[in-house]
Amino acid sequence: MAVSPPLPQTAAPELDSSDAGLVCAARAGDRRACFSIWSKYAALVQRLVWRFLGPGSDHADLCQEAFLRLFKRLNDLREPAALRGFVVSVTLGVARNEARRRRIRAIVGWVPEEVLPAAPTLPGQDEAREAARALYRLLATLGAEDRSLFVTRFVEKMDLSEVAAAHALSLSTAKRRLARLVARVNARLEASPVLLEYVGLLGQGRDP
Amino acid sequence: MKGKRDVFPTADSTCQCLGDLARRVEISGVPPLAEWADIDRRLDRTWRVPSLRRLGPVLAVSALAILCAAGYLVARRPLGYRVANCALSAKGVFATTSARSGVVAFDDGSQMSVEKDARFRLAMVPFGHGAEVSLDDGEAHLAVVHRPGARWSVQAGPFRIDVTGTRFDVRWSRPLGRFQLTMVEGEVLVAGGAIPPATHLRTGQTLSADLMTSSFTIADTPSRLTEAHRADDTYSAKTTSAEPVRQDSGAPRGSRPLPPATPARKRTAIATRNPHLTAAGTQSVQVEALPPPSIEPVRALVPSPLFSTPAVAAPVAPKPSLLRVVFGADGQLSNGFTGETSVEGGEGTSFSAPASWNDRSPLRPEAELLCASGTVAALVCVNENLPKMHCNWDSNWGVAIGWYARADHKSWGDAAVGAIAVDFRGRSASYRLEAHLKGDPKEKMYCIDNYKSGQVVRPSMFKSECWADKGDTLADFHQVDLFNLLFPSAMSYVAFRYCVSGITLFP
Repeated sequence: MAVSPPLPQTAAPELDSSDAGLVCAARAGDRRACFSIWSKYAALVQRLVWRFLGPGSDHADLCQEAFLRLFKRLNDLREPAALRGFVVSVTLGVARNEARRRRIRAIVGWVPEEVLPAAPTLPGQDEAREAARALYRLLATLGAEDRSLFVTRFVEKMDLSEVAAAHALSLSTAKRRLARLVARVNARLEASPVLLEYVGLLGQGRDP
Repeated sequence: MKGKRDVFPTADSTCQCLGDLARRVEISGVPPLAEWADIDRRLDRTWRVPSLRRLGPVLAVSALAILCAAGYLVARRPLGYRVANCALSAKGVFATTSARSGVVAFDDGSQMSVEKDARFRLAMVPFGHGAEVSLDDGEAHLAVVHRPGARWSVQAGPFRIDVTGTRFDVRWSRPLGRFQLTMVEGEVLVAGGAIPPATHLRTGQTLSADLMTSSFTIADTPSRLTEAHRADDTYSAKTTSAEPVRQDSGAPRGSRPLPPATPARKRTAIATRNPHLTAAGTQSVQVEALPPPSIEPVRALVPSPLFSTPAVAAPVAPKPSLLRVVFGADGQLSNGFTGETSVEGGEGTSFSAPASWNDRSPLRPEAELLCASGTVAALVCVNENLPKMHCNWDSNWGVAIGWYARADHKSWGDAAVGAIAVDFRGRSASYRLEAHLKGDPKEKMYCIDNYKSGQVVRPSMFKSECWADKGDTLADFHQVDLFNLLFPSAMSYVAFRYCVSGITLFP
């Protein structure tokens, strides 16, 4: 797979590396701008997908899908400077779709519901690794929207306005849904002794 | 467990804690440049055909909508039919000549053979569910294939037969005003004239009705009668040939041989007149000669004393016993009346047809129908719950299609007849037939309340307060100068549309 990326040509004009400049250039069909956008946000996209779906083997495809969708929809971006939020929004959309697809596949019995691989993905203690698996099992029981809210608010630690923007919600609606999500997560926590234990340890001030 | 929960953080901080846990998931490396190469390659394909991709769902939905619409239109398509040996007039009336019988073959296998000198119309029911057959004049025989959901009906003058899956014979002698229905198999619903609505007639029963006397009888038909007809029938599959079909020398009118028993077919024979129904409509009509073998013979009519009068069968036509009033194109009447037709509305009436209207506007027939449509405002009443309730009847009385007895608007005089029947069609309502005497105030009318289409009425049945079934009655029609068929106003706003299709005068 020795494919060399289309790197910028030396004779080409200088590329504005700001988000707005990259968006304008990409809209004009400048492939270098697309590459720059990818370089800048590939790690973010990858992280979001991983944290949304949990560790998995096919996330690279989803990351590609997210960028393809992003480039196709660049013209929909009203404020070019807000590229980062747009990347987050598009990536979450792709991840939500994937979560829905997986759920449907699990319902119709094509594949078992998403199961974390056995390979160790967490550094440190076994308890934390086990708790992470339990967490993603819990997240799998939530709807795609709830899962997306959880990842943005509690994993990515976005503030409320960013969460609302990433989900195209008003601030008040985002607050309402987050409150509902928190209630749901806590209700389902009861069914997961591993997570209860993990959270309980935290509550006692111990590092799990 | 309780102790453990006591030390739990708050709900929100629990989620924060879980979020921190997720953040500890190790992400495998950074995206390699090879991934960009894949994106770059796919981007080429995506940007090459962006519009088609975007239009994909739209095209799919559009195609689905077009398919649904096409399917609906195909399903809604009425039954097709072919007509042989019948001329089609511009008004959609089929007619046979005095030399040949005609045949209509429907796509579902049903057939109708029409006797010589007959006129008929066809109105097809949507979704290919059947047809409404209306014979303006003459005699016809139907063989209807039974299918689930099929709706076939036959209108014979004022009589209507709803075919519910059966075999029967019907005869309608228009000059004599006599109707006969003989059941061969199953049952039908029949109504019209003096016959109550939705009258059931079952196998072996014969209904005979006489418009002149407003009477009807239902009698059990001996089964041998039907069998005798099966044996005596002489009709063969010559319906489409140039040879005369009827055996006039001694054989009963319409006498035909019975075909081999075909359980799937419901066969009828009718002789009717009804100008109500409209023509074939939008379906394609092929006028062509049908191959004789494809015509299934239909059974004979039952000979009846009702129809054995010389008025029907004698070669020399006698003086007609009743008159059918003719509507002239300009609204002028002839053959019994010489006045003109008109339409008039009360204070709360507005017309959509005729388009231009004034008091007593001349009403010109369209397709031999005198029609009016529009709306009538609700009555305004005071003391509604008291015996002295009063409504504005005098001004908002409804709408009337009327006709003068004479062109000079004088009384009918010596030309007056003994009874009259008005054929009409319209929305369900309590219509009123009115007669006005020359010299009486305009608003004074003798009337018959709840008048039914085709009902034969005599002068003595007209009362000055028909709504209360009391008052003076008419002695005769000599002093009458005007007749009205009234659609009365009601307590609520109401739309009306009704058509007078014929007026018959009885001596």
